[in-house]
Amino acid sequence: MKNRLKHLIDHISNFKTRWPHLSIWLLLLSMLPINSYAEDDHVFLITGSRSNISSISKHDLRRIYLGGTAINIPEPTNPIINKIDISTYRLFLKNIMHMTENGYKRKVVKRVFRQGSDKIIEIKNLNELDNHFKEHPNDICFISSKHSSQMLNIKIIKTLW
Amino acid sequence: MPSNHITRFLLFSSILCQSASLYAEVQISGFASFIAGKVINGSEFLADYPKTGIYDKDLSFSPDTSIGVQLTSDITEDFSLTLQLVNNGADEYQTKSTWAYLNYQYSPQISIQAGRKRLPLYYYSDTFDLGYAYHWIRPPADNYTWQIAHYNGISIIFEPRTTSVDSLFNLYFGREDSSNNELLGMFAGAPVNETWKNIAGFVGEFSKDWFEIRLTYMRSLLDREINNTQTDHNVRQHFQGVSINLYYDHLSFLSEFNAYERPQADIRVVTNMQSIGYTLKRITPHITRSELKQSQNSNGGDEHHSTNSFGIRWDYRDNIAIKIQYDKTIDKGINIPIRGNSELISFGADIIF
Repeated sequence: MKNRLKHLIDHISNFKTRWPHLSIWLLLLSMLPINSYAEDDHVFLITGSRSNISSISKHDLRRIYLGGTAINIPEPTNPIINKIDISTYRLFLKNIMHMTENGYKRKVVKRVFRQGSDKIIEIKNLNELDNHFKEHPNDICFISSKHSSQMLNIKIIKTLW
Repeated sequence: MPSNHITRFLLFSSILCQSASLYAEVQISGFASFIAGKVINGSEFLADYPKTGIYDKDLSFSPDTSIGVQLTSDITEDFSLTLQLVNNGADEYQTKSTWAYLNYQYSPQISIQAGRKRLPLYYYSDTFDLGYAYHWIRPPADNYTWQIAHYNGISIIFEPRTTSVDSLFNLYFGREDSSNNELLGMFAGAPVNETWKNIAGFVGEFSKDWFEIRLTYMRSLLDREINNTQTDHNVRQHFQGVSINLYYDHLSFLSEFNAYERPQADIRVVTNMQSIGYTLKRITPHITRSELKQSQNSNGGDEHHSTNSFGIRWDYRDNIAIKIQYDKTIDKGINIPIRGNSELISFGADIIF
């Protein structure tokens, strides 16, 4: 214990000789990109207009988008990845899933092959997304406000940001 | 000819998929890794311990190339069947069933599986063949040196509801009989039959935002026959490990620390791995160090090797990753040398479909 304390004190007292290295690390860290939220456009969580789903917790939302099952939703529901607007998709991953695009993809792929979870459907076209909700009213998706106003078969559950 | 085996596997898989989809709603997923490599210094490089995939001075596609197809079918709302067939170059392109289990979704938080699964000792054990899921060509070979990779038994997965931490608990029980074990046979120079019985294990995974930790523990009894002569019977063994992963924006730090012990035989092996990757748009350069060290015992066990790797992953398409990697292995074992010092260049593509 005494030796460990001495070692720690030595380590701290060597700071003078270490500070150039520390400065380089701090400089590198400060250069890392810091993403900010896009405040000019709201993003909503939506479901089909015929769905009985009226609310969904953030925790359930994360579970569903990671290939798991929701706890507090009585209806079986599937998540849809909205790739109509890639920047909204990336912000969803950052703000809600707290992951990068690559990190998220790998996590979902891992789950599909490890636990036999369903693949998550990706939709890149607004009409296709609208039609999807006609046929699968209990599914959920995130969408920007500018796109949501053009859809007929959906209802908004909550504002995500 | 490997290409004939692959063609036959693909034909067989497509017939299986088509006939399966006629009778039930079957979800089909697949993955493939087409990897080539060549030792540029030294004589041989052991890339895949469980399947003894070895590169030498000639360019080879076999050690890391694999194709897998997974079929999942919902029988009822609560029951589903999963079958995964994998064709590995290191297994001379023979098709093997790596997953085959019945899943019962007891509740949104609890699922129970019965059948054949991969033994989840290490962080990447479950996805070892799924190259797309990690940034390397293969998980660091020094860490993934286990001779038993699967088990038949029961697995219980519990994903509790917590407010801020994603967590998963996995309890599993089972047994595996491996006749003519490839890895042990290679070391012993004779046919080896190995059984791990009374397997009981636990995995706990916790993640929050940029932090992830995984704990693992397994104990079992081991029986071994070398040249049909029993050398070990009911020998206790246990394995424990921790993985800590940090994801800060585009920077990722991955690590594993594991220990395997068989006290009766005075065997203790520790492994560790640290890797840093940084993703710039679709390109992820990464560096890794991994090591295996066995404590010297009365039999002179001194297996000790480490590998430094540098590689680049390029996410060429959403489902295709192209990779290149350089590995340098230092083999310090005297009584138990593995394949000596070596340097390897390997490259290829990982695909999911």
